[in-house]
Amino acid sequence: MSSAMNPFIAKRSSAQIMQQVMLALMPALFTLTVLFGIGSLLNVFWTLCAALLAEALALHLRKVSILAHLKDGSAIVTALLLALALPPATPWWICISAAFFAILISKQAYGGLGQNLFNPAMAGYAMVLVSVPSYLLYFPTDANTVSEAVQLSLGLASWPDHYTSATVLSVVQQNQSLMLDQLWQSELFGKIAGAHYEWVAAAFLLGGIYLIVQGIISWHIPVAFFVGLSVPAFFFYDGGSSVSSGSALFHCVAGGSMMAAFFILTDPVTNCADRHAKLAFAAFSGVVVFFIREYSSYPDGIAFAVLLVNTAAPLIDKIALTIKAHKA
Amino acid sequence: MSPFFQRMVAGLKLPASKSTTRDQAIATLPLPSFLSLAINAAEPLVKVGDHVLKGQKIAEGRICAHAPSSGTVRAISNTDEGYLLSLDCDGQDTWIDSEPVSSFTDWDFKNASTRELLIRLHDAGIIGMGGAGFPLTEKLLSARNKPIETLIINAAECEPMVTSDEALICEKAYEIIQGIKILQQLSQAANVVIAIEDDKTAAIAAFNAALINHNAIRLQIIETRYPSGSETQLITMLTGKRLNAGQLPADVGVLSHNVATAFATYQAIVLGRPLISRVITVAGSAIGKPCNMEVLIGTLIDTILNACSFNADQCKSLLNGGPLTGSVIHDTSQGVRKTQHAVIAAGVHQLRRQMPETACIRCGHCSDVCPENLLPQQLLAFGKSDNIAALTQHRLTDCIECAACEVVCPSHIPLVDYYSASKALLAELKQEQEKAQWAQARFERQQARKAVLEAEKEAKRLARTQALLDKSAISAAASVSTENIKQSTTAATEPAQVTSTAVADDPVAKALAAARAKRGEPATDNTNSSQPIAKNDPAELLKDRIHTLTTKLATLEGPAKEVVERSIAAMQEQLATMQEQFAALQTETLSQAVEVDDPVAAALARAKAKRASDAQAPVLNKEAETANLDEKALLQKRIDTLQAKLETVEGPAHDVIARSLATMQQQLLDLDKAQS
Repeated sequence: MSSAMNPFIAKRSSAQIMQQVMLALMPALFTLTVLFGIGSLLNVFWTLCAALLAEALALHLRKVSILAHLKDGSAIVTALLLALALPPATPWWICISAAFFAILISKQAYGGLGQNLFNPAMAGYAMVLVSVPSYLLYFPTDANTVSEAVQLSLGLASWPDHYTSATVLSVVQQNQSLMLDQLWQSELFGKIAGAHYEWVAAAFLLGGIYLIVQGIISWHIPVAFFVGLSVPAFFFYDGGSSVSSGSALFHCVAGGSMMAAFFILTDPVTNCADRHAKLAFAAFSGVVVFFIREYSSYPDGIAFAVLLVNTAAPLIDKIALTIKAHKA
Repeated sequence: MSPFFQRMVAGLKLPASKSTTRDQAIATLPLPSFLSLAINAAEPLVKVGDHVLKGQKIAEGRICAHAPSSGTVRAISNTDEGYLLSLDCDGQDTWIDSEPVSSFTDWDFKNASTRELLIRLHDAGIIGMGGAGFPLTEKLLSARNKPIETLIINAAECEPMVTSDEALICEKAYEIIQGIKILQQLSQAANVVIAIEDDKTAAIAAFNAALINHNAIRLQIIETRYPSGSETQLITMLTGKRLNAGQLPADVGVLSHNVATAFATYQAIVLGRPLISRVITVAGSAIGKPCNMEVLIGTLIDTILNACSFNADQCKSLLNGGPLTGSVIHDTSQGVRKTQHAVIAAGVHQLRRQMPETACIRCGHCSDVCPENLLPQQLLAFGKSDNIAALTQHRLTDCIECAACEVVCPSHIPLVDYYSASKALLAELKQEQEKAQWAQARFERQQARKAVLEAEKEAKRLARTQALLDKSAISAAASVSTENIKQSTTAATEPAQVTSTAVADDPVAKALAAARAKRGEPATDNTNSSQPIAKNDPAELLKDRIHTLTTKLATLEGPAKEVVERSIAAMQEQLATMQEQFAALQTETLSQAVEVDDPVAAALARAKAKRASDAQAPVLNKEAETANLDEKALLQKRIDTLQAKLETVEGPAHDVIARSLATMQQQLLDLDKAQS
């Protein structure tokens, strides 16, 4: 058979693709560390340990080569995404539970890499979000010292009040009295979508552009997501009244939008297979994110939106194929 | 995922690796001493020990085979695919007609009929030489009833390392054009397009030179991109048409042939030379002298490798065909086949690094390069889970196994291997399905045959009873006394209702009983059971049978239904005949009785007969009425009618009529005698 020889070989192996994704996440990790201290690095430490341990355990139980499969790097990518999604210096037990859930339940239980229905990082994040929401809804507003961060991470202390605040998304959601212009007077809001966090979003954007340039992801998915998010945001935006949920630009930058657009929705495993279905998948995710932000009790809806649309991926594929077969 | 939206051209850029053989003239191999010919889809015409001449047809069938050189047939063995014929060459290379015959000089084929050309192509054993190896004449014939707009000549040769077509074009462009003209004439295509990749500059120049006077043939230079030479790719690229699943190129008005096929066509028609040699590329880093070479079909791979300074130590993989689509050669003592275009001996550094297969991450690179717009990642998953329905829905059978997906797969999955396995599974299931359908059809045919046999048996049995009845009734009628007339006519009219009390005196009943005894039936007491009585009346029996069959008809379908319908019709015919005969019989019996004696009794009997025939067959009323006419004339008339009828009926009904005709003629003679 052809595989007996085939002298031509892909530019990158799957493991190398994973490495590129890790590399693309570095700007965001760096920015978070610069702005808020080493809390995010500690997150990475916990999630990485837990993810690798869980992966090794699962591979052992599945009786497959542990080293060969650990090398594919997928567990590391999941751990990184999870660590960046969690607020800096999240208590260790939250990080570990999220990582275990991500690897064991949402990936290995489905049959390992390539078989999972749900994005592991988002599944892990959603699990802790519904379990211990109070730990995840407040973000730091300023950097803390190393010892503070370590104490926080070990669960020995909690953030001093003046260091944390609700995220801008939750402020906007709960706002009943102030015009948006007035909200933006606050230091918290920065220029577009939250002081400091705008820069984190920019870092994710940078990493995403790198992946596009490297040909690892296509620009179509992020664009489709932003369109899906912006269109309802645009129609619901009333120019900035007290009940407004913010402009389309605000939504695209705030919260986990950037990360989702470039690093979560582009996950090929949990995406659709058909190219047109992929577009629908991303756009649909954007719409769902907006409506969760607008109508649910959660300020940000990335994780839930992604999980919901993950379940719809096979259906979207099927619809796309049926339409194509009908056209042909 | 860069080419995200629907592309005109899929595929990928690959290093051509053609430079070593690209600019070389076609070499010729010294005449080998031994040839090994694989004969597929044909039956050998020669025996072991026969001496054959070069160009002699040695196998006839879908793909005719010819002796590539003169020599002696050493052995013929059966293989899975057909036959393997070993030929010891005598070194003389003697042509069968000293020189190849040619009745068409250059360009002369224009006057030849399509039929003549097709026969020649078939006799020359020409097949599609691009790889599939489908018999050329079959391809042409299958497209005959479809209007062909465009004839595509595939000179793309997109596979890396293979340059056999390119070399052929460089040297034989003029001949190829003539072959193309023949193929155009055969398919009646309005447009002819030759597709060639843009890196084949020498071949393009050769074509341009040869095409100076042929404006009707367009040379289309296409991008060098693997697999541009795939048929569906070419069709889309050159005509803008897309093939839907299950469609043949001819369905969209396109027919495509490989450039080597065009050359073989030229050789067959203009030179009268069968397909006994072809050009192949021998290359790879384990080959000391890479070249393009014309070899006789059946030349051993060993012989070829030896001639090209093959370095066995360096060779890691020996392939029949190019590096992407070729298959591994396990046995170098096999002969070159008509479809083989290359022997690649890949050295260590040409071998794909032994990357372990890792999990599919569904990156979709494979679907970006798939020339058939398939979703290879999905096919892999469905194949692993043997999901037949999904494999079919995702058009697995459209996969051309170009291996472009494998090249880009970051998980190094041998995708084509998986697809071949899945295809084999699909084929197996399809075969099983066909088998089941065939068995079903066979069962239905059997049932139908059974029904026919049963009907025939029944008819024969009835005919026998009828004959017996005729005889006994006649003899009885002839012998009975006047007093017995009433009784006997009753018996003749309604033989089934003869009572047992009557049996003692009644000769007809006796005769019937005798007949029953002869058939092996128990002489049942008729009064006690009505069933056997009914059975003994052929008309009733027939009616009964027709009724049964009609009921059965409702439950049947297909051919069985038709057969049963036919037998019902035949039976109805029979019934009519029988009723006619009964009527006639009565009249005759009566008339004879009348002749014998009492006119009153005769009149009574006649009236009774009329009533009976009225009840039995209204159609026969008219004839029954005429029963009062001259008996002889009546008999004659009936004979005439029956004779006319005899012409139109077949089978058991025919026999019955023939027999009763004979009886009637006898009666007529008897009557004549009696009168005189």
